[in-house]
Amino acid sequence: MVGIIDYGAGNLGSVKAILDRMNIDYLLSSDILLLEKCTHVILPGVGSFKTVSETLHKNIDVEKLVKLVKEKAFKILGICIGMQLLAEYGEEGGGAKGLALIKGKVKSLKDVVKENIRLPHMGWNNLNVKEDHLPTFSELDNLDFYHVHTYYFEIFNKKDVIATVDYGIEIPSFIRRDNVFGAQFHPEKSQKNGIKFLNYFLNS
Amino acid sequence: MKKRRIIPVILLKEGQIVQSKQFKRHQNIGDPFKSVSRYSEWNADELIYLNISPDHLYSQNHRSDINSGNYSDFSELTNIISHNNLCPITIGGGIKSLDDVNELFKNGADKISFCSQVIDHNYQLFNQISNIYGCQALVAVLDIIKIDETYFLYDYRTKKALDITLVEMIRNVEKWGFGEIVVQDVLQDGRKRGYDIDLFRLASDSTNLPVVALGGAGSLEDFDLLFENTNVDAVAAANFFQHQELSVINLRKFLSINKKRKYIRI
Repeated sequence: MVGIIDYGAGNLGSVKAILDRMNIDYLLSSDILLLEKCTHVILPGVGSFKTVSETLHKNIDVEKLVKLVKEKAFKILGICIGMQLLAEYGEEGGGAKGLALIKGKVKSLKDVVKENIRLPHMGWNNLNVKEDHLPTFSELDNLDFYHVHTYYFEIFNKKDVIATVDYGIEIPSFIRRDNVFGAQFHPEKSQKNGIKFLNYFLNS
Repeated sequence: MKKRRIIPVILLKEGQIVQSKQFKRHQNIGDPFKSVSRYSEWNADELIYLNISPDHLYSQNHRSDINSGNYSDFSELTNIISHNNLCPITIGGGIKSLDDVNELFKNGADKISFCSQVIDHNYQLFNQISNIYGCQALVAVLDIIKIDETYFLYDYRTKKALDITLVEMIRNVEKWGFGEIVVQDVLQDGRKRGYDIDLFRLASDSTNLPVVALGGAGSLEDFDLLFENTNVDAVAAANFFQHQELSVINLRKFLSINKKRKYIRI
């Protein structure tokens, strides 16, 4: 069973729509005990890091969630802000702590891209799978996915980065450490490539 | 590399898709969901869905001549749209409060666009939305009219140009927390005479926000001229995509194969 964490700040409609299209059963819940029965859990999210992080802490038992993830009770995929929440810290909106499931910080692209680069980074961009990960993820290499964000996840351990996208700088776009996955892009908005990506996650 | 986007626009009036010409005539051309599914099959990069009905007339209940579709409100429509298309969807038209916005996001909208609220400087609403949903969810639609070589903001409600220029208005929407700007050329709307390159060059060179060009598409070549001569991030069109079978696919092929433009998604 696939679980979607319903904490009140997600693009739940779109995630539900793509899973419906893929004929995959899922449950929606803010109760972490129910999610315990799932093999795969999705953490969606739109909004500003601080607001979303506060909403998450208010509406779900974050300690329990982190404990289950660390015990590898299920695989978890964070999407967009959901991926950024996996970090230790995010500076958007004045700064807030994340779930600290993957080492690194979420920072503004404004401070690292050239002046004339447009922000938000909005639109379809192709994944460049890192050489070390090509044997496993070659099918995702060079596929376009829909991105929309102004902040990026600066990953501490380079080997946690499966693929990047080029936007003047290399932005980590698909990350993974053990049972923790993150997509900076929106698979639920990326048509057939999004379905392919979610199949990778759900079959992993 | 990031690709430049091709975005069909769907204009909805009282539950039906319409075609518009110079903001005046609205010709009825059909069912709102057929187009959504078609554009989905054609892999449009995004969709913009604009409700141009008079206030609160989303359905066609009052019209006895048409018997398809019956939607109580815009969020119900949005929900059906988002289930029929797995690409980003911008919803706009008649949205006035944070409650409206919350409902639309809950039902699958990815971005919300504002036109008259922008003219009315409703920046408190924009700040609220931007704080909750992020600036990427907030799209400004600027209707622009050229008068004596200057581009002015235009108010479709009074059908008059306003005493504020395009560039002045761009500064405002940047300040108000918008994440994207759709620039709509009022004079070229529905006339198929090509894009006003000067307008879209000025708009895209005046801001670091992504700019979407709307108004004027008549031929495949027009799109190439626009992309090659301006820095717009995306091109949007309503009538052009609505009227030709496989229009989005054909445009993509034309730009990526005939013209070898690498910035188009294949």
